[in-house]
Amino acid sequence: MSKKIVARDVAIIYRGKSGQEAVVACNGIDLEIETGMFVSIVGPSGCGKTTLLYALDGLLPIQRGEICVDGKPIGGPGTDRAIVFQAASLLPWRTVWDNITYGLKLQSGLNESGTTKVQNLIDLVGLRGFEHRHPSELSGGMQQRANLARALAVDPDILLLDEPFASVDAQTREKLQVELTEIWSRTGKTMVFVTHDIGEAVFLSDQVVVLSARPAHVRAIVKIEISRPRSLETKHSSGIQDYVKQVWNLIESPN
Amino acid sequence: MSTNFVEQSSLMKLRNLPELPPVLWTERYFRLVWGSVGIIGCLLCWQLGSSVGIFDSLFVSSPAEVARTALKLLPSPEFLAHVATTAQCLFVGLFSALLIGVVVGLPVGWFPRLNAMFEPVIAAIYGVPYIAFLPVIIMWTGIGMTSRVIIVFWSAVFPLIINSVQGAREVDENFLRVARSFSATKLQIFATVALPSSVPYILAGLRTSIGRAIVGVVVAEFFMSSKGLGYFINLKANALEMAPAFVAIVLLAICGIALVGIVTYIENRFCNW
Repeated sequence: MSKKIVARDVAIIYRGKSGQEAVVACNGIDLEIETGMFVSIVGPSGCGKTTLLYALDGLLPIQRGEICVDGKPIGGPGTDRAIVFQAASLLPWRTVWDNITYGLKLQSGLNESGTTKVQNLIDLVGLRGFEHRHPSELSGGMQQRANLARALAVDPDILLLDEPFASVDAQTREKLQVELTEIWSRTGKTMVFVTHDIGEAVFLSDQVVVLSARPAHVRAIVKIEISRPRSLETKHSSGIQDYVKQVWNLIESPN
Repeated sequence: MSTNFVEQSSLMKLRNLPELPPVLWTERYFRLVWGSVGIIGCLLCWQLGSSVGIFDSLFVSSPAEVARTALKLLPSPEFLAHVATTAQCLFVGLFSALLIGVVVGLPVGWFPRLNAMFEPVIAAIYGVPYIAFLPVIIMWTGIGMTSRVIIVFWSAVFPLIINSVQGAREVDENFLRVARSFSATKLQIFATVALPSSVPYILAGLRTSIGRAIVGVVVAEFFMSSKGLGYFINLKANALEMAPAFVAIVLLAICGIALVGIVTYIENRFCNW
């Protein structure tokens, strides 16, 4: 298995709101993610998980070290990566269809085969029939589904997700988690998932990366050895709970 | 067993659903009904006041007289020529204000350097009541349609510039990030995110500009014209012919309401998000 994403000694520093103080979000991140893996990133609140994810997508510059995808350092956002933001951020003046095809049209344009692929995607995320609605007519869960479809529409090798289910109700969240694992096993994409919910992280991932408090470095990597496919029953089983306890202890214990 | 009992009783409750009372038409068209009552009430007070003698009908006229005069004036070619003059001035001035306001305002809102350079200048000029510029404009371009169009333009352009600036500045950071994550170029970001996001702001500015433009054309016609509704009102009022003056005033009011109504319609149709 080849290394899809490699981060070596990455430091991310940015100016605070007042413009004076420098905030060190990450200091010395070393990470290796293999192709086709599902990796979650967890850590204490405010430790820099989202910052790291944005840097992996190329939205933020890094001040030290390098982030390489397929062996080549990244210099900005790319067509091989797509990110699913925490807020659905669908463009409100566009229909669901226009939103999902937004990235695709920007990058390679939309032809006949593309249109079919997008229609299959819409079926995959369960939004058939809502193509001509506007985001304001959709529930939070449906907006996140459209958000996910938009990122998948550009067919990226790597899918980055920033707490995509945080603002969705608990029942919808569980459904979306199962749907996400199904999409992952069907498409085989490399997925990096940031979350506060440890149970969610353990349920979805092959590996859970635990970050320390800010300035963040990688504290530990927990390999989740529970067989796939994982159903909702597995989620509430003792196997998962043991891992959850293990990760919690890693987050909570002082340095 | 216990489940069946619960199901049974809910079925029974469904069958005995009480009916909601029907909606009265006065409720459905609440604002229309009471708005009409308000306007008709004011007209009645006006008419009563003039007929009974509380208002001196020489100065104030009455709705009945205004209506009669309107029937005489509206088909007459001289009056229609005045209407045409005012309409032409208003639309040319408004349209150019919209075009230039947006073309100037959007970049000033979008580029931080342009913003820092021009926002203080714009605020300073906007602070001056545009009527103060009238004598200057008369000196520059004389008394004629050109000067009047400039006045209308000047009175209408600033709300459009300022609102366009605001629209381009207050684009949601989340949407910009989405566009960047798909490797959009600066131009694509502007066209697909900033521009659509600014449209509600521009339309709001247009609303204000319409009112200011109508004031502008009337004032310009008071001082620098021998044609147009503003000139007509001035002429008739000075001759104590109030009824024709009111016909022109009502016409201007209807024009303003209609134009703002069009903007509202466009807003509801295209900006319902």
